Amino acid sequence: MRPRLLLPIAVLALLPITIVYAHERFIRHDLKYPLHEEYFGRHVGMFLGMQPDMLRIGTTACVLLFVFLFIFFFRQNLDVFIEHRLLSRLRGPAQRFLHHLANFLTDKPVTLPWFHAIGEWAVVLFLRSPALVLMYSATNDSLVMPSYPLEPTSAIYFKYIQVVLAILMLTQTALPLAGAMVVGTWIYLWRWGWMVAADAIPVVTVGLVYLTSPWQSYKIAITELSEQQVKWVRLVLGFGFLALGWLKIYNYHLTAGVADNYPAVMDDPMIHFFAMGTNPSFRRENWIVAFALAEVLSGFMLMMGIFTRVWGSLMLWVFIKLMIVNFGWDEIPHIYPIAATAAIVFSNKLRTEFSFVEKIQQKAAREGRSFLRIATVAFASVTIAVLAVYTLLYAFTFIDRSRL
Amino acid sequence: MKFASVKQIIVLTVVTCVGLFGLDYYKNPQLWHSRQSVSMARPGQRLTLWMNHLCCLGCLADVRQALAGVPGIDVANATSPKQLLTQAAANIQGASLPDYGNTVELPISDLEKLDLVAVDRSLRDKGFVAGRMELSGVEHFRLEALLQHLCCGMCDRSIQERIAFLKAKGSAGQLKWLDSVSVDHEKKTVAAHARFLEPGKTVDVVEFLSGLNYLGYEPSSLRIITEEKMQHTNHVAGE
Repeated sequence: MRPRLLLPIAVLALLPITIVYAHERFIRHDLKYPLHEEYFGRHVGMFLGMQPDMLRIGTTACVLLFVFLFIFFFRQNLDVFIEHRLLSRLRGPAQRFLHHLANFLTDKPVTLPWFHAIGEWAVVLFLRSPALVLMYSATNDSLVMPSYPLEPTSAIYFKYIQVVLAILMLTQTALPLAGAMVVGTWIYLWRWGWMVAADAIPVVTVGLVYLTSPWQSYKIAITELSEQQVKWVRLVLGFGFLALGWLKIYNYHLTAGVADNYPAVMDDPMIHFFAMGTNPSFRRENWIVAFALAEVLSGFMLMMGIFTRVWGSLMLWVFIKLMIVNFGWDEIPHIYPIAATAAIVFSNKLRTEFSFVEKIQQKAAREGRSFLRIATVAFASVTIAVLAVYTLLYAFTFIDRSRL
Repeated sequence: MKFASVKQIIVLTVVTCVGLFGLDYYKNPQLWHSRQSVSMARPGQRLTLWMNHLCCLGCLADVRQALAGVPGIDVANATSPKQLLTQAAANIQGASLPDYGNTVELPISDLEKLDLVAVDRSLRDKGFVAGRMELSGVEHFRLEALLQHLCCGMCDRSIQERIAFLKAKGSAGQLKWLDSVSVDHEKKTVAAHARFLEPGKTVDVVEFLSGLNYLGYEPSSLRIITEEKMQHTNHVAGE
């Protein structure tokens, strides 16, 4: 890298140090009842020093992740087995339907015109929906999201900047500039603390797509993302959800405060699944961990490209439900993550970050070493699942977050 | 098609970022200097009042007048904002919003005589409200609130439990300084035991007053009991 480029990078790296005390901006959570604070701390004599219910939910998440990983690494073989053995007698529409369904579920290209058309439309929505969110925030005296209210003394300037950025997005003018403004704004959010910046990671996703778009973007219709763009969208969006999931456990008062104000969010079948078999006297605490780990799992799978479409579809369902059923109009900015997730789900350029495990497995298959195949996949799946779920869950028990 | 180079991307991002920080710093100086002012608190026992409205010399004169009769504070040696507008200038000049808020630093002349409820009431009687009352220079202390209404055991328990709840709920770090709360039913007092207060740091006593108000109690007095006094009390009780 050129030495003259090092200075701005160093400045960017030092910016978080200048975070100032500004509690006025923190998102307020209206916790209505006290939580069992000890639930989230150390428990002497328990396995890993964790509260048994928390450990149980973690184990459920870990096993689920293991199963998904294990199946995913054998997806080529399963596809061949189902299509050429089980369904070999099928013909016509039924055969084609199952072929497309299998391709959808295993992240392979789905060659249907309507699927491609929805994918194109999802990309258009993804590239333009941030403008709606910015306009909505500007009219609510907020920056980027309604949860970041602006100071009255500077609100008007920030609102105009957001409007200018929204115009660039809506007209697809100078998209690299729009991307730099999005990323620059996200870095500015560090001023209000690392949790605020982590909360806004999904915003960076569209910024990266803008940055990799041509300067003459207003002259062309961008209806498809390149393979690299899809990869970055998947990585950043998935990491954003992963971080948000862990933040739900880290800052558990905020999560519980949301549930206290919107009790309906606690009735979700997927979260009930994660929390099954836990002690009902810790209902809210269990819900926090289950909700968080469901998001961690979704984010991790999306980020690493494991059953991207399956988990993306589940996330679409959850986001739409939250926006329409649970929170209503207040959650209207969810249009943006819905659009971003839809752009991935309907993309035919999906890849996995764990393709090396598949390659080792397939090489062993060609050499006829069945035990090595299963052992490799099992070892990789267990290692990834344990590291992904338990590492931070265990680490958080050492941190006292009761006064966050 | 022409795409943005890495250099262009970095320059544009840095310009945006620096621009937003600069705008924020220029338009919201009160947010950037709030912590600095706390950490730079001078040694000695002080009560620093943050007034959300203290825009001109007329306001300052009224604040001084309101506090003149309050025992325990040295109003004569109060440190007030240097560059306040005169009333006449304030009448004609449109001051920007941050200029409305200012601090008044009051040296504490006699800690035993100081009643923080009296400070609050004196200001309110004159038409002011202190946004924060920050105590500094006292390392070990407890705040002792006298509550006329403490009729039953449930009142006692609710205060202890609910204050702990408020502390846990304080997303903005309110009551972080608070170690524990104890209730003396006979004396009708609630004591908020503060953690060790590092030199240069402050405790906002308004947080405790607001907490009691939130729980439905209005203290008739709020006094600061220091470590020496506490040891003396314990010693006498032990004898």
